Amino acid sequence: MKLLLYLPQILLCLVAIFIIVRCFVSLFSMRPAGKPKAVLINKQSGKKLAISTYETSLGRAKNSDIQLASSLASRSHAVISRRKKGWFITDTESKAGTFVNGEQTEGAVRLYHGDTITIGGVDYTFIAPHASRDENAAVPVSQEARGTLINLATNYPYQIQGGKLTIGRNENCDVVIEDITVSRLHAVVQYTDEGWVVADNDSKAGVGVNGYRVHGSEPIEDGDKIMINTHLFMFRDGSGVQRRGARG
Amino acid sequence: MVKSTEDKALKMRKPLKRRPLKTVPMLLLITAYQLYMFSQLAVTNIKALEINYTMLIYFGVFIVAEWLYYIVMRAFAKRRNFEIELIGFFLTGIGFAAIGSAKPDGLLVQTGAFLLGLIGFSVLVWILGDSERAMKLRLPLGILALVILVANIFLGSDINGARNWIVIGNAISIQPSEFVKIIFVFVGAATLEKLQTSKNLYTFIGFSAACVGVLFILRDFGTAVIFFLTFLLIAFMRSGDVRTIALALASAGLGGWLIAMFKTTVKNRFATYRHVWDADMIDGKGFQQTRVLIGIASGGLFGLGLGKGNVRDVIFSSTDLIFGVVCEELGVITGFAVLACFMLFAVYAINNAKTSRSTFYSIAATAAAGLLLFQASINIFGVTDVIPFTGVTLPFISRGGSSMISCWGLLAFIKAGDSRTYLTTYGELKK
Amino acid sequence: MKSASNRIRIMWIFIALSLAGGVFLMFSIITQGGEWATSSRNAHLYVNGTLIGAGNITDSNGEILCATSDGKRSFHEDGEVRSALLHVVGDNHGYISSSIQNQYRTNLSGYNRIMGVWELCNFEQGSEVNLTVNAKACRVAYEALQGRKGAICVYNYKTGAVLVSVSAPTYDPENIPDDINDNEAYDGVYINRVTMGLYPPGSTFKVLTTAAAIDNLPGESDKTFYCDGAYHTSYGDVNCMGEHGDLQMKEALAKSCNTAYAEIANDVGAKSLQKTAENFGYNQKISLGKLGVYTSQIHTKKDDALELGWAGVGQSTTLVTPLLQVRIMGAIAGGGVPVEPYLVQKVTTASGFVKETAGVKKGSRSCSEETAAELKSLLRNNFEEQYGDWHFNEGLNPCGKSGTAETDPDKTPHAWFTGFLDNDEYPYAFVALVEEGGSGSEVALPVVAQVVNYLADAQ
Repeated sequence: MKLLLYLPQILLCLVAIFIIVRCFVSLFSMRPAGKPKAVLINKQSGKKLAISTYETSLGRAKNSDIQLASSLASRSHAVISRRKKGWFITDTESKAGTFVNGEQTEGAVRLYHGDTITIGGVDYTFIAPHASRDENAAVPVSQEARGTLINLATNYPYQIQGGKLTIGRNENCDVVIEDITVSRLHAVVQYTDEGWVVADNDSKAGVGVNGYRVHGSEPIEDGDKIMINTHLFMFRDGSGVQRRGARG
Repeated sequence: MVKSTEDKALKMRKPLKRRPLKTVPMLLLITAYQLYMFSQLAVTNIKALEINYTMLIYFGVFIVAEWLYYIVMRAFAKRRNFEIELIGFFLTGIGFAAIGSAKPDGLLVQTGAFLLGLIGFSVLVWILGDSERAMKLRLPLGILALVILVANIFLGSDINGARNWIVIGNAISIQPSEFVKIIFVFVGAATLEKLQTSKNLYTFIGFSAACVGVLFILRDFGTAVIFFLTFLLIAFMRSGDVRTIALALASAGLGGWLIAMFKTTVKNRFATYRHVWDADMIDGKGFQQTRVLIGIASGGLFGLGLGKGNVRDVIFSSTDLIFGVVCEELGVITGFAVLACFMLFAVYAINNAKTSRSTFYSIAATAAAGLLLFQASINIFGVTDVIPFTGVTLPFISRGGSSMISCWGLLAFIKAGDSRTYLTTYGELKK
Repeated sequence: MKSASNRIRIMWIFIALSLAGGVFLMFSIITQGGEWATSSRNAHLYVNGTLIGAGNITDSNGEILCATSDGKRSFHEDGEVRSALLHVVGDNHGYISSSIQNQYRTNLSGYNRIMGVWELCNFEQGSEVNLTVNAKACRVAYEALQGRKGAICVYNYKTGAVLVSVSAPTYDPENIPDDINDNEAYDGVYINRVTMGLYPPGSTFKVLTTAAAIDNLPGESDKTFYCDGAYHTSYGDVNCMGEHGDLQMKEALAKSCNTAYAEIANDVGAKSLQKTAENFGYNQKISLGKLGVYTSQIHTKKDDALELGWAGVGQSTTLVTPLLQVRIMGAIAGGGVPVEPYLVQKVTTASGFVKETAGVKKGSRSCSEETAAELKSLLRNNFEEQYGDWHFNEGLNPCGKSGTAETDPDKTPHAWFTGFLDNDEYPYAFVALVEEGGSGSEVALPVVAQVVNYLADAQ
C-alpha cells in the first residue's frame, strides 16, 4: 500500500499531541506544595486568625485576606509575608501605623514567634513555632509535633519521634517494610515549616496520598491515607495544631 | 470502626491515579520525535546516504543541550519537575525543524541562542528563587530597559521597515525590544506589600507608556501592540481598578488612532485585511498571507513532510511565516498544538496563582504566559488573515536569536510561578 | 493575596479571545481550505498556470474522457466524443463553467481535506472522477442531432445514473473553431442545454395537466370534449392543430388536442395546476451533483381563462429544462417518486481510497402511486395509438409524449420528446429537444429512439 508512506506523518502528529497532553496533564494534576502556617491571636478576645498564604493582607477592605473590624485600621493596613528568611510584616501606608512589640514599623520588619503586633489599637500575638527569635534554639518539635502512622494492614501504630519518621526497606528505617518493591529509603513523614509533609525519596514505586501520587513532597493532615506502593498507612496528627481548610 | 477503615483500605489498593510525568521517558520521546524530524532534513538522500553534516551538528548540539540541562538540574539543583522545560524543548524542536527546512543557514544562530536562552532561563529561575532579591532588581532593570530602548532610537538600523535592530560590528545584530520584554514582566510584577502602596501603579503606567512610545518611534508596530496588551493585563492584575485601565486604554487608543492615521504602513495593513485573495492583493500585499493559507490547506491534517512544502520558499518564511511552514510540513494538527501550548501556559499560570508564594510570582507568570500568548496569537492569526497582519515572530519557533533568548527568559517566570520549583524538602532527605 | 489571585482571572478573557481566533481559523480551513489549495497560486498544483497532476475523468465503461500527460490536459481520442461530452467534462479554459472539470477541480487536483496535497506530491496524480455517462452513446446522440441545436438526456430512473447528456451546438475542445464567437451556429455554445436550457415545454406539459386532472377531478377522464379547432374564451382562442371533434382525455392526450387540454386546465384551475407542476419539480431547485441546474418556471394566472388554457398545453410563460423533463418521466416511471439524477459515480484518490460514491437518492414524492400508474398507462397508450412501438427495439415498452413548442410565429417550433421505457432491464427515462426542429413526434422521437436503442443494444 502506497498509503503506508503516510503513516510517519500521522504518527508524528499523534506524538506531538501526546507530548503536549502528557506534559500539561502532569502540570495540572499536581496538588500544590505545602502552605505556610502561622496564627494571629487577638489578645483581647482570644480569637484566632489563621494565616495560610505566603502573603496575607490585613485591613478593613472586603477583599483583604484577613478583614479587620477595628475602625482605626486602614482599608489596606499591612501585609504579613513569609519569605525565605522568615516572617515579615510591612505597613502599607496605613494612617495609624503598625507596631511590633510597641515599636512603629518602617519597611519590612521581621516577625518572631510570640511577637505582639498592634494594628488599629488591637494587639495580636504572632504564633509561628518555627520562627523563634533565638535562631540556635532547637525547633520545638518534640513537644509540639507528635503524630502516629498506623499500618492499616496490621493496625500497628508507629509513633513519630522528633518530628520525623523514615519509611523503607532498610532496617535502619523507623518503619521497615520487607517488600522488594519498596525502596531502601522510600519516604519520609516529617514536620516542617509548612506543617506535616510526606516526601517521596525518589522511590521507584512511588508514594500516594489519598489515592493521588505524591510529586516530591505533599502536605498531609490528620486522617490522610498514605500509600507506600501497595502498603497502606493512616496518619494521625497528635500535635494539637491542626490545619483546617488548607485542603481546598 | 477499625473494620470500616480496613474496608476502605482495600478499596484504596488501586494503582495510583494521575501518575506524575516521568521525565526521562518523556525526554526520550521528545528526543525521538526531534530525531525523526531532524533526520528528514539532514538526510537529503537516503539511498546514497547523503547527509548534511553541518545541519547534523546543530541538531546534535540541540539534543545534547536538552539532556545536559536535565542532568545538571536534577543533580545540582535537585529539581524533579521538568514539564515546563519539556514543552519548551518540544516547541524549540519544532522551530529547529521548520528553520532547518526554511532557512538552514539560520540554524547556527538559533543553536547558539538556544544555549544562551537555556542558561538565561536557569539564571533567571535562580534569581527569582528569592522574591526579595528579585524586587530589588526591578529599579535598575527598569532603567536599563529605558536606556536600551532610547539607545535603540539613536543606534538602531532599519531592517524590513522597523528600526528595532542594533548591529554590532557586521556580524551580530540584536533586537533590544526582545530583551525589554523580560524586563517589562519583571518590572510589572510586585509583591503584595508593594501592590498595596498607591504610587506603585503610576510608575508602572509611566514605564509602559515610555516602552510603547519608543516602540512606535521605532516603527515596531507588532511589538508595541504586544506590550500594550501585556500592560493592560498587568495593570488590571495589580490594581483591579477598571477606571485606571479605562483611562490608560482611552489614551492609548487615541494615540494609536492618531498614529494609524499618519502611518501608511499601518493603513495598508488594514486595507489588505480580509482582502488578501483580491486580484490586486493576491500577488502584492496579500502575498504572504495567501501563500500561508495555501500552505495550510495543502498540508492537510498531517502535513507533507519536512522539506516538502512551498511556504518555505516565500520571503520571511523562517520568521513571520513560520506557522505556515509548520502547518504545511508537519500538519495543521501540529500547528494547532503549538497554539494550544501557549493557551495552556496561560491557563496554567492562572491555575497556579492560588498557591503561589507571592503575588510577584503569580503576576509575573501570568504576564509572561500572557505575553507569549499575545505574540503567538498575533503572529498566527496575522499570517492567516484572521486579524490584520503585523510582523511579529512566533515564540520559540521563529528564527531569531534575541527572540529565542527572550522566550526562554519569559518561560523562567512561568517556571518560577510553579510552587514546586523551589521545594526544599528534597535535599534534606538525602543522607 | 486572595484579591490578586482573583484578578488574575482576567487572563481568561484573553485566552477566550485566542480560542475564538483558533476556532475561526479552524472553521475557515474546513470551509475554504479546498478553495485555497486549488488556487492557481498553489505551486504544488500548478506549474505555469496548468494543473500538473489533475486526475482522470472516466466514463461508465472506464474510457478516459480527460487525462493529464506531461503536464498537459488532454481529452478523449475521438473528436466526436470530445464534442459530445464537452458540456459534461468541460474544457481547459474554464469557458464551460458548470462542468466536471471545473466543479470537481478540488477533487481532480489531488487535494483532499485530510491529506492536503500529499498524494499529489507523492504519486504525482490527483483523484479520478468516474462518471455515469456512456461515451459511445453520447456520441450516437450527438450524431443523431445532425448538427442541429438541441439537447438529449437519458437517465436510469431506478438508480439516477445519467447515461447520456449531450448539448448542441458544441465544439471540440482540442480544436477550438476560430469563429466560435462570431458564427451564429455557435450561439450559446458554452451553455449546457440539458441543465441550463430553459424552453417552453409545449405539449409535453399535457402530461402534468393530466396528472392535475386525475388528482383533482375524478370524473374528468370520462368527460367528453368537443374540438372545433380551438378553445374559445372571452379573451380569445386557444388554437388546436386539428379539428378532433368529440373525444375523451385519453384520446386527447394521444392526439395532443389543445382544445380539450385548454378546457381541462380551466376545469382543474390555476392553483391546482401550478401545485401539481411544482410537485413535479417546477419552481424547485434541482441539482446534478455540484453542477448547476436552472430552475424551471411556471406561473399560472387565476382569472385569465385564455392564459390558463395556454398554460395547460405548455405554451404560456412556462419554461422547463430538459433535465427536469427526464426527472418528471422518472417520477412517473418510478411510481410517483423521482430518483435524483447524478453524473459522478465515484471519486477515487491516487492511493486508491474511494472518497465519494454515488447512491440512489430519492426526491420528494411528485404524485400518488395510482396517479403515476394511470399516467403510465396513458403514456403507453400514446405509443400504441399514435407514435408506434416500431421506433424502439422490440419489447422495450416505450411510454412518452411528444411536444411542439412555439416560441416565435416566424420560427419553426422546437421539437420535444420525453418518455421512458416501462422495462425492468432498461429502466431509462429520456428526453430529446431539437431547437426549431418542427414536430416533436416526427423529429425528436427518432433522435431519442436512436440513442435509447443504442443503449439497449450495447448492454
